[in-house]
Amino acid sequence: MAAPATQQIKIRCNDEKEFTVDRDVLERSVLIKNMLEDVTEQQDAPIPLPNVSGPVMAKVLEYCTHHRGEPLPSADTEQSQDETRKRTTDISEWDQKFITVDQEMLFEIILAANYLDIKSLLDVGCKTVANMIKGKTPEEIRKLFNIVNDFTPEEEAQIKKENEWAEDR
Amino acid sequence: MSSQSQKLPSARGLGLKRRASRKLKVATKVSPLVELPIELLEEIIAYLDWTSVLQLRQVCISLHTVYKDRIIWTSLLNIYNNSLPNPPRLDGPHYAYTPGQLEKHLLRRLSTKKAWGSLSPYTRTAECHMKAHLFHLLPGGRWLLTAQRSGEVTIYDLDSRAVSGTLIIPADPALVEVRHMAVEVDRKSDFLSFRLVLCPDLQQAVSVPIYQVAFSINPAISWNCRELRRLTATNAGAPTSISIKGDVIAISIRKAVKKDLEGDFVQVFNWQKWDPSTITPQVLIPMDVYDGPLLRVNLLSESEIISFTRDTISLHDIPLVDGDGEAGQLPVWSVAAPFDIDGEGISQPSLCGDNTHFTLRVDSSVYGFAISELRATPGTFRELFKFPFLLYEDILCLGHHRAFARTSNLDAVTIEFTCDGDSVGVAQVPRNGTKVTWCPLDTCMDEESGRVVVCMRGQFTIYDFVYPHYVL
Repeated sequence: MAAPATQQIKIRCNDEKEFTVDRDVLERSVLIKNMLEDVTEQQDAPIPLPNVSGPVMAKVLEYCTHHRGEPLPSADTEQSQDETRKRTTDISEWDQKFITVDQEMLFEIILAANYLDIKSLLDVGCKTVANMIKGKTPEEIRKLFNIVNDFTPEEEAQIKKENEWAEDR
Repeated sequence: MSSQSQKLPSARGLGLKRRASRKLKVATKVSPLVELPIELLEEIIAYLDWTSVLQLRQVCISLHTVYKDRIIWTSLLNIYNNSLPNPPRLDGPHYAYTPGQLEKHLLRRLSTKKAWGSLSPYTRTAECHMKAHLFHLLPGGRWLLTAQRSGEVTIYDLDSRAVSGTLIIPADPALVEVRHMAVEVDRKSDFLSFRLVLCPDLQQAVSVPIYQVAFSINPAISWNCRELRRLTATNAGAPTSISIKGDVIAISIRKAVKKDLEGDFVQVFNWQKWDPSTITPQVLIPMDVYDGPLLRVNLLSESEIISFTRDTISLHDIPLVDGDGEAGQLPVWSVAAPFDIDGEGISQPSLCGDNTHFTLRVDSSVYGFAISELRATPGTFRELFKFPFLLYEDILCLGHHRAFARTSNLDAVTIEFTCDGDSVGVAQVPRNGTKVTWCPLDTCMDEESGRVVVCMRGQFTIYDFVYPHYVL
């Protein structure tokens, strides 16, 4: 592809932080892509993204820049993928390194990817969380994600008993 | 307040309302995982296997609620089915079921699969606190059935931490002196499923009940046991063995009361078709073709029965035509018992579970026990191994060249394991200091898992056999 003069787009996050980004990078986000397609004229006003903060957007843009030019999953393939979806939680090496962030950021990225409709990034985030959960006991999961055990002792005993059969001995 | 736990028979009852009221009390900082919108949680769960899903829902109330009745179970069921070469199908298409129904369906299957699964070998002793009369180890070695003379049947999970029994059939006053029990398992069922026939002393009672048991290790799934049929056997003698295969049940009966009677015989029932009101006659295969007493019969299939007498092994076709049959059928083949060199005869014949091998005791001066392979060619078997230890009281067949024998003395019961005819291990079960010359003991084994259970004095001792070594 002969590189035409790349269009630069401005976005503004909820903390007033602004980014100026190449259009093809931003179009990794289906949300923004659709917005840009709806607007035909060149606009100077930045696109407001009220659900994303600056630091998270910086991270998301890092991802989008790395993956620019890759084909976006079309709605059709997405559908068929879901049916036969092999639940592999393998994550590529770069993505793995990219997603090695603290938990707060991890969940922020997942929420942002969901809002911005960046399927591949959402998948990376969800796979990462799934990998964190896999093979852990309920207590380990609580500890890892700082979750309060709000069962009563009776409820807990009941649930434990219900699931005992599944444990590896 | 003691009713608190009863108010929650299942955690299903945990509603959103309670969660909301609780949340106010609990910590101010809520985990971002719990805060995620449900559709995003579902995205994450989609990458989890079912064991992780079950772990996750034990974490807290909101995560518990998320997994109930959710679309995730449809995909988990698909993944599970895709992992099987021949998955059992639902009656209708998946969309005809709610995710909750699919969840229950999958968990029932998974728990059944788990229940039949093989075990990691270990040897230990477990109390059973009761003296049972009959023992039967189900394939896989995890489940032990015990029956009392009263007809009471209990199932024990030998793999549970504290071996606990569940009464599945209560004592039955119509059964006097239950003598034999035959079991046939159904590995294709969604449940831990088997059929069970109890045979009382037919001189005192004639009712022979058949039960269908659908058991589950998952407490969320209720198990059941129902009586399928109750046959009426002839009361002409004492039962010596019982066998079940599909629709057919065979009982060998000893007519030892009077010497001038023609001998032992076998009663065969098609229990599905058997109906007392139309007085369908039982099919009798009189064994007057044999001289000696009938030791036992084993159904090889619904149409073939193998019988052991002291000096012959024979195969009969079962001429079942709607419950009617011809009497006096000649055997398809009949051969002299193997290893019986000096004509003393054999005893204690036992067929291994897959009907490929049998063991017997040879009451000769040369051999003690023998294993033979039943061959596909009619009327032939291959003599495999013989054990010249005359002291053993019993032998059981593990199949495929493995055997197990036991003997007893004053201090301990000795169990010897053999492999390809060689002794490869000896275990001793102490008599717990009791000075008796004979001690009630029963043993059963499962060739699939290599597990041997010795039941003595209200105690199970569980031995696991790992080819080619025994773990003792």
